[in-house]
Amino acid sequence: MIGTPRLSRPYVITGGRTRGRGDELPVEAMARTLSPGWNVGRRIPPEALDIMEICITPRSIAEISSRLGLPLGVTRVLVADLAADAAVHVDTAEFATASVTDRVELLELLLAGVRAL
Amino acid sequence: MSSCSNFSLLVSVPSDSPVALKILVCGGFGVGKTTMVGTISEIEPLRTEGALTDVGPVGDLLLHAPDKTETTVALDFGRITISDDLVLYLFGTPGQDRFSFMWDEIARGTVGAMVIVDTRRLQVSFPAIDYSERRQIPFVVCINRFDGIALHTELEVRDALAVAGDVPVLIGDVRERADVKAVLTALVAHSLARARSARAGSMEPAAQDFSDRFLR
Repeated sequence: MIGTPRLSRPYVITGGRTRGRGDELPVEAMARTLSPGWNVGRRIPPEALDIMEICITPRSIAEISSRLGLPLGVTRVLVADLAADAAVHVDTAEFATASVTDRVELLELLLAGVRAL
Repeated sequence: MSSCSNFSLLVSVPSDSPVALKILVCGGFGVGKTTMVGTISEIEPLRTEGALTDVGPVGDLLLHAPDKTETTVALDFGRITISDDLVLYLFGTPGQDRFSFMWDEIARGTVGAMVIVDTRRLQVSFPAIDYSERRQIPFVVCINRFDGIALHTELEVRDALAVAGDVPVLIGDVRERADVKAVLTALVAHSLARARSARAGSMEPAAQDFSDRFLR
């Protein structure tokens, strides 16, 4: 895939924007649809409807991007827009900004988990 | 936007979404990053693309490829469900130096990095080690035993890479699940040790205040 030219269609979906409302979502941020089939009250691209459909099960930005074949940047914009419309909820548990106590607690859980693999 | 930034809340109250953590798998081009992800992931490694236009001006890059309007960088990743509340993602970083700008974005908030080295060409993994050290990302080194043969000992590689004494260096075959699990476990344990010492450090001033008061 490296070095392959792409058509600019993905940026038509986002109206030419490469940044969404809100900040850049981490690739592992989890999105889940709040109310399936809910009408967000504006015309939204079909790709955004696809996101609402697959995020009935919580999925990361990276997974959404991969499953729908959308570049990461486009996925972020669409998810941020849906979050702004309260159509999806995004959990951005930033490990980097978590308190050191929370980090220790999470890593203990993770260590027990990987040992049990 | 409707995002939850209260981390403590996420940890203590089960949300509908699991907490997602991530670990990077890095090293130079062709050292076995995607293989390693695939060995331990519960799903076939997925691929996503970050377009270069995501990162702003790309003039220099486009000068080298004037016939292309946009270039994409493939990002392979896997997933391990730890529990209903905790999911771990493994991201293979783009192997070529010219894509290293993408690392910042992927590295933000990572638990740590597993750096794979191929002893026949150690130098291709130097950028990943430099990057982890510079950004203070906890990392472990995995010497990939290609075809069952490790050409150098752990000590030789440790010397050649000049990594800090507390950085775990393991020899393993990235195709073997038990080996990858050992590397992953070593990384999480290392990251936890770092977090614990940071926590101990952050408690010291308070302890100092207390002893000052006590002595007065």
